[in-house]
Amino acid sequence: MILPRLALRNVLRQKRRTVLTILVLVAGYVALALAGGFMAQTFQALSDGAIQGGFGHLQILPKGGLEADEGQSLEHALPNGEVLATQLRKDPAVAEVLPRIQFMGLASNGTRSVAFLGTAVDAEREPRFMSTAERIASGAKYPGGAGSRWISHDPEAREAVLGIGLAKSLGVTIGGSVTLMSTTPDGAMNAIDVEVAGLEDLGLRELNDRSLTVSLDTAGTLLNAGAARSRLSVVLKHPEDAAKESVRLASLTGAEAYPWFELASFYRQVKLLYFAIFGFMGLVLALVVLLATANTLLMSVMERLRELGTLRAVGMQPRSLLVLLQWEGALLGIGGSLAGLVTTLVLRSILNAMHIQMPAPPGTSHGYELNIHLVPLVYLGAFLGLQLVIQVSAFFPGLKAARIRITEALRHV
Amino acid sequence: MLDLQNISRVYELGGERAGVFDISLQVPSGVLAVLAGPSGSGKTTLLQVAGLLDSADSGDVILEGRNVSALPERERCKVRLSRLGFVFQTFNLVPVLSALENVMLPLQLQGEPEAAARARSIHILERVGLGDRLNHRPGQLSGGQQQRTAIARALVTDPILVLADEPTANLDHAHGGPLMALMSELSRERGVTFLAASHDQAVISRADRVFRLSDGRLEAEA
Ligand SMILES: Nc1ncnc2c1ncn2[C@@H]1O[C@H](COP(=O)(O)OP(=O)(O)O)[C@@H](O)[C@H]1O
Ligand SMILES: [Mg+2]
Repeated sequence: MILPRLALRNVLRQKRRTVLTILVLVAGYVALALAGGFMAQTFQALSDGAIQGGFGHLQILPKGGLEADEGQSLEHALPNGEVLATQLRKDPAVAEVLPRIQFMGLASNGTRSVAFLGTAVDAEREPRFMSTAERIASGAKYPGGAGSRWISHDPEAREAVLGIGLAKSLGVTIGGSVTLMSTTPDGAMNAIDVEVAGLEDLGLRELNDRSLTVSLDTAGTLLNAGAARSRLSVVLKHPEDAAKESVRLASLTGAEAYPWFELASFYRQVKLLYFAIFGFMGLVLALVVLLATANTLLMSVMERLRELGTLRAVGMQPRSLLVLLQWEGALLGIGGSLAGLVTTLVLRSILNAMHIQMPAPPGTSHGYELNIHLVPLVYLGAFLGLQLVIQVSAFFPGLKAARIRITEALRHV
Repeated sequence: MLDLQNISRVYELGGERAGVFDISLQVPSGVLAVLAGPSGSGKTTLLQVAGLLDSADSGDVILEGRNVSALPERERCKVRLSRLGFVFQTFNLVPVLSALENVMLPLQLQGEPEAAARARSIHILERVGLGDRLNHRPGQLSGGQQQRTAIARALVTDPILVLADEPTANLDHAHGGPLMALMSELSRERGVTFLAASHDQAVISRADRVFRLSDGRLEAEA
């Protein structure tokens, strides 16, 4: 244990330099840990949004359903989707199945028609898992949204929830009436009148301008759908099994099944973008840390050439000096990460207490409050990442120390 | 015990040749031998070759009948650690370690357990008169005390040969004499061979054996 002890004493010898190095490490740690926490918050919000926005943990689609034009999808539907849903609800891994029909058509207020993208859902089951209540509530804040509510469970009710943009272009408010026109699978035109039960804000302008939600019964009447369903959103008892269960359920049903993260292209794009941005930041950070520690350790090697020469003369192996410098790096790293952890926790509490409003992410219509998550794994990751960089940076000074010529080192003053 | 055979270690600087040339000498066991000679005569160069800190250009170093001059550095480290001890003009203690820890260092490099290393080190520090300075750092010790700590560090592993390069040069007269007296006592007491380089007459007068160097060559023994 002589090497770690020597390393500790050496690190403590040059206090000012050690403190400066540790400050660099603290900055690095804080940046990594806060960025990680922020990313965790963002990914969590995005994945919740995707899952509870309609995908569920996985979706079952008819063969080729991913490529099919969504508006035509009843032609490519699961012909017995509703029956399949009933069967799947008995599957031990499945918590709930939420069938949906996707369709398109024209919505008219009598004088003006606007194209819509409709989704029909199980009016009773959908709100138990999906974030319908939040969307309805957010829609209620818009002009004409007062009294916004979810569509009725009554199979006879003919009601719809409209995207705020669609409601605006139709000039309708809650309680108003709209005529929906669409085509049945056999090509006939059909129309029904629905009452506007609620408005919803989906966070994306393109969706708000087009989207419309009705019950499966309403859509069934309009489209003459029978038991056909475009997709089944499946809620799992163990969400982490989404990929595995997709494979199993696909072969069980003979249809296609995809986990939510393969379907949510927005989630994947943002994730890629963030990884690119923060990955680049991490690279720069790693470089700074690498140079700072390498410099500190190299200076300390150059300053104690005679001491290192003495250690070698006494009989220390060159390899042991390499190890000594690894220990010195390790101690700097541990000190830096510990101080960094404390700083991060303090900064995190302060930042979160400030209730900072973040601007809307690209493509979305509203901002959110900064809430950096406390993710132990991120803190561990920041520590391990820093430590790796430091051990690498300690390698060069260590090599320098191991390669000294004893006679020259001893002559050094 | 130490047998140097035709050792040459030559530095060439701008056409000038310096170093040591074709030196052969034998140091018997248990004596205090001195390499004498003026500054620049090659004493340090020869000590470093004999102490396996440097390699000769030609010639052999025979230690206890074994030719150690061609060993790889790993093995040379082991020989230095277990068979040799070093004392330097500038003391060369590790400044961040206490006197006791400095003396324990070679034992710990040998893998000796902490408690045993501590006991042996305290024992020898007491022998050199530093029993009350165990936990002082080198910076808190006088030159003479530091050099006695260095001697303790050199002797703690029970080496057969201690190489001392100008051990008294950084000490004033009042300390140099007693230090040499101590080395001479220890060599008798422990049967350790000392080979010291010095141009100090007080040191040379203590020697059992004197080798005189001049311009890198050995003069005929007096
Ligand atoms: N690393 C070196 N490079 C060049 N010349 C050296 C080197 N080391 C020693 N010398 C030369 O070798 C000669 C002997 O030096 P040294 O062994 O240090 O003598 P001493 O210890 O007797 O004073 C001197 O002329 C010195 O300049
Ligand atoms: Mg010299």
